Amino acid sequence: MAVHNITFTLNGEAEAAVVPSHMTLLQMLREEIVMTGTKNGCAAGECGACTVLLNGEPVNSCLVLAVECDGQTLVTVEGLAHDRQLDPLQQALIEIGGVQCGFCTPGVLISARALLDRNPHPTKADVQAALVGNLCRCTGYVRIIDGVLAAAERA
Amino acid sequence: MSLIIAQNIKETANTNGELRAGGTDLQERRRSRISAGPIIDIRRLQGLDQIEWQADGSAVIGAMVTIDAVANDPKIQAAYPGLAKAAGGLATPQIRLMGTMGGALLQHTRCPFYRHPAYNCHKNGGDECFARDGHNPNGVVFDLGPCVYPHPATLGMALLAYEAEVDIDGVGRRSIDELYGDGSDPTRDHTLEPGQILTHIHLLPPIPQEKAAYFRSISRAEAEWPIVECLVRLVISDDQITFARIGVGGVANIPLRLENVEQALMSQSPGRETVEKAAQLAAAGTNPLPQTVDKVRFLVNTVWHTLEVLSPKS
Amino acid sequence: MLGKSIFRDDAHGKVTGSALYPGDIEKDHFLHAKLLFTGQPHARMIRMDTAAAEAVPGVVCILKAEDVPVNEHGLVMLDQPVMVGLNSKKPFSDVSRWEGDRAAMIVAETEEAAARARDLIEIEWEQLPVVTSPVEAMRDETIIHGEEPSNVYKHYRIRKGEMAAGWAAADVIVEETYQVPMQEHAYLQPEAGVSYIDEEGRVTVEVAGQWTHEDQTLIAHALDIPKEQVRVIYPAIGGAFGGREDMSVQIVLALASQRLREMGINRPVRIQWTREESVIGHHKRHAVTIHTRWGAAKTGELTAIEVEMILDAGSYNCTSNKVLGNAHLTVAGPYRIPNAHIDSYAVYTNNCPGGAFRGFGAPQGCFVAESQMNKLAIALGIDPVELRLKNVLREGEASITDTPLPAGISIKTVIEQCADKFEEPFSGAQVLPRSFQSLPADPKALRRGRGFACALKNIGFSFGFPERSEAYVELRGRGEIDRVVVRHAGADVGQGAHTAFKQMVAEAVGVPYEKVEGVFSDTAYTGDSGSASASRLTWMTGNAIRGAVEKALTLWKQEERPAVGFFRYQPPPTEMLDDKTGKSNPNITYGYVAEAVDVTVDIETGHITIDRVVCANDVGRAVNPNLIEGQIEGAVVQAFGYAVTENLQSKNGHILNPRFSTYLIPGIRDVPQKVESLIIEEPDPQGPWGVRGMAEMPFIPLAPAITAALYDATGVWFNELPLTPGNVRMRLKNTLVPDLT
Repeated sequence: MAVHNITFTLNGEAEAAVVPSHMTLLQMLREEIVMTGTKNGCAAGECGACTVLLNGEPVNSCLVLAVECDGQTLVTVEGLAHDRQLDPLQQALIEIGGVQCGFCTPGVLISARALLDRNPHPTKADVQAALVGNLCRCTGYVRIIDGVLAAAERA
Repeated sequence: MSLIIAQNIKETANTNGELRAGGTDLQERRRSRISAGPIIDIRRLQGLDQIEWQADGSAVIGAMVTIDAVANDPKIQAAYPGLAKAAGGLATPQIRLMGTMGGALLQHTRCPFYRHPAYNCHKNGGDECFARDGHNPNGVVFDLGPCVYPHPATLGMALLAYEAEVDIDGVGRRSIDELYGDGSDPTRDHTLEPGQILTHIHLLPPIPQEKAAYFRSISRAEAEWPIVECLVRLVISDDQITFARIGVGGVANIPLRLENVEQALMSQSPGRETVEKAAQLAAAGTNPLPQTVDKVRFLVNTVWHTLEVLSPKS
Repeated sequence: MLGKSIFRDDAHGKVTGSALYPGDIEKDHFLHAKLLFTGQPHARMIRMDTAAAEAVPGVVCILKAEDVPVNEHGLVMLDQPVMVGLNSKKPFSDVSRWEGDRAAMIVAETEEAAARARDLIEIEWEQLPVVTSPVEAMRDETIIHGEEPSNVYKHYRIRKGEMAAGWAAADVIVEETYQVPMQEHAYLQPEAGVSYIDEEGRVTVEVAGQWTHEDQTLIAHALDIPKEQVRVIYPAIGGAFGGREDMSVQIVLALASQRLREMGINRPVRIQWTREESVIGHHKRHAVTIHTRWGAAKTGELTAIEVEMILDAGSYNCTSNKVLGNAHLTVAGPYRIPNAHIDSYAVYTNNCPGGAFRGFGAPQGCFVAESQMNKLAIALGIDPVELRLKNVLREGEASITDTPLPAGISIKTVIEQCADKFEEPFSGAQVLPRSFQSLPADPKALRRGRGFACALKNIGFSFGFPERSEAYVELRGRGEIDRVVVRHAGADVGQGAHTAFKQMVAEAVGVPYEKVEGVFSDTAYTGDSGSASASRLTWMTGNAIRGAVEKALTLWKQEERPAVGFFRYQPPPTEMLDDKTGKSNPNITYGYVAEAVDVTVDIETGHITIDRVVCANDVGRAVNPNLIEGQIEGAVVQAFGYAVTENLQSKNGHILNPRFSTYLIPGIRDVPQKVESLIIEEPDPQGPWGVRGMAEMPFIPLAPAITAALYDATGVWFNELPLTPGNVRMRLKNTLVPDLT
């Protein structure tokens, strides 16, 4: 089985990994790098819990091969807070109640971050369009939408 | 614009391997173990990730261009509005960012029996279609062959409505019709042989006055395979329809164009009556399964609804 | 401390990615496990060959039915084998009755090796008739559990009053058949867990469940070891909704650790299910078919009801008898019914087992009761709200079990408040004088309608179950209380229970929230809390905490440092239904809810959208309003999925759509445009500080409120769920709605 030496930027830090060809980015994050904030909800690109930023774009890490990340830039939920200062999105979800079981939360935050990076003042419809690939079974989404809008307002 | 792809890639694919582009379909089949051989990642093949514009104003889209790039490209939105709308209406933002145009065209059927380990259907080495018998409302209404699960390629349907062509490396130019065949062979999702690679999509020069609408009938607000989908392209000039192309998906095991509906629209005034009359023709030629009889009406309504979006008077 | 929306304790870890769920736990030198499902809805194992699998490099051991000391489990009946296979001491263990039955557990150095070995296990099966229709199963031509005389393993009755007199008094009779489908829990975190031998030699399982001590009991039973030698810990849990009540990976993980110990291997084991394994491998909300007749006098008073209910229990009794009991009682709604004749059956089939799911039988029962009330309202020409107010049970009146409901009946309040709130104008829509008539119809295909429904649901386990909840509260400090430590097993499945527990401790002790610490959900440190289900957790825990705090404060005053109070709260006992008449006091207490909806339906496409939901939910006393609103909003959207988008398809006992692209839970664009939560606080006399259980209630009335609104919009009743576009279209067409061809 072929293995590859890859290097990439993960949450602002240079990283290297040795990965087999078939390993997904999600598997590499969770099992090789042992960074488990990125969740495995379906491994088929259908729930969004594993969403990470690949060169600034939200992708399902379960569908990306680790080797594809050679030379690329990745951000996971662990990379959203800086110097122990939470991202406004993280703070808003805590305060407004957009977190229940929390399993969808990392993916939701990443998709929302990508949205705010591209569109700092989204409407409710923009938020819904950006998060349509992130399923949540607990909150009914109401407080997720409110949280993202509040974070945009505060930033 | 031809590209000679290393022979060993083709040979590996020809034995038991599979080509991988965006991976959004393949990765799912890997884990359900419908695909088990080696993977050949062609994502990084040079020269396939660009949209190129020709002197006549037409676009050539590389097979590795993402669905998102097509959906959000302002020039595509202007020149081929229906294609951009269809691309933006499928799956989720994450899938659109990873999925490629080539992969979207060549994905395998989403039939639950094909993807279920307990069933071996035509596409899985068996000789039966399990979707034919039973209560699956997602079946076809144009029964074109032994396999009765609808083709999943929204963009195949869209490109059919745009009369696009594709390059198959080492083989040549094929129409979208030819790419999908006539639906009679239940073992295939498309007519490419193992190892053949789709490299480019060629669009015709855009029609400046074209208006397009896309509607996807699904049971959730977004992120579902279409029950019925429809793409309409119209040119209306002096209150007359001078050009019409209608693509429909979710209704046959290949993407379809409804030429009879197109003809009924031509030279007519685009009012409520025209639209209603033309939409009824979508039912012509349907031969639904017992469980999809009602879907014929759904097809008519979807076509009707999509036409109404573009019809100024209705 | 009560009534404050304190930010939940676990949110920080969840937003930063540091919270550990069962699949996130890292231990040194992990071994990896895979389960082999039989894939056989009904078949007898003839031969199983694991030789090739055992020869796969890296395979450590393969566990089979014969390796399970006591090969049985189940929450109410031990009718389910831990594994199906040959040479088991438990009779009939060679029969697979469900495609999700387990045939082998493979433990290996890597996941890949375990998966490869799993593929190489050869099993020969003798096919048995697959029974998927409960009606067919009731004929007992094929017996699914060989040791049982019949597939019908539970039959409850209500015989109340004089039916002949009841029908004679009826001016209007509504007779209907209803069909409600299975529902998948679809929690985002698929089943996973780790097991190991802890420092005290206990077989330890870290897993997501709903009741640590029940997991512990069932593991100990199957392994045939004392309970004290088993430890169960819950880390962060990624949703549950009833779906984690039964055993998924708990017993097999413990079995693997026990076997590894015997082999002299001291290494932890982990398992992670795929989404498909999760959907195929755990129970569902029960599909139920109900035939019923309701009679009412011209004045609106109900005179009689007759019900026959058949519940598809699937292959095993995952609490089906209890779900049946709840459906059996809630099918009468919160109403005064003088004459009733109800027969309810739970029937084994080869389908996926039915089991616990938010509402636990009440969504099915109330769908029928509320649909019948809405139809009677039309037939009688009485406003549906008025009709309900005429018939709702009052304090001291005989309920369907011929005994009064426990004191504190607030159904009238929730109905009135919900109706009043709904009268308020909403985003410009024209509001008609009395509540539930049509909104102005769209000139084209869009039709709008309004609907109303209400519900009651028991809090806590019923029918004679020995309910209890144990809490330890420790007061630390010298002169003043510096710190309070509460120890409690209750599972925080995502609802925020641990935050609410700490608020109640702070309230009871009289200290700020920040001074309270919790040790939760570990059988090594906590007493039995009972389950995180049946809307019981805050209610029971609050009572346990009050008792424990009272004891600790007494000791504190006696200068004990630290002062540790322990209390085992036991609510008043309940009774099983009388076999012949159903007469009993089956429940401890109840929660009450009412919902009103504005719905838009496109009669051409069958698409339904909810414009507005008003939910009036009596919570007794709001411990944390933000968490409560989160429960209401989440329940409403989950119920929208149940009523409209979710359509579990199966064929010959195989689930066909075990994934999120085909089993469609609501996404962020499917949610109602507006969900208005009305938190009612009418105290429950038995609840701590008046608290009532609340988290299931908002789920229950939504489906019948939607069908009432659809009737209002189209003039057509819908007796079957889900209301997918295809189903809606077909029903509208078949009932010949004017101008719809």
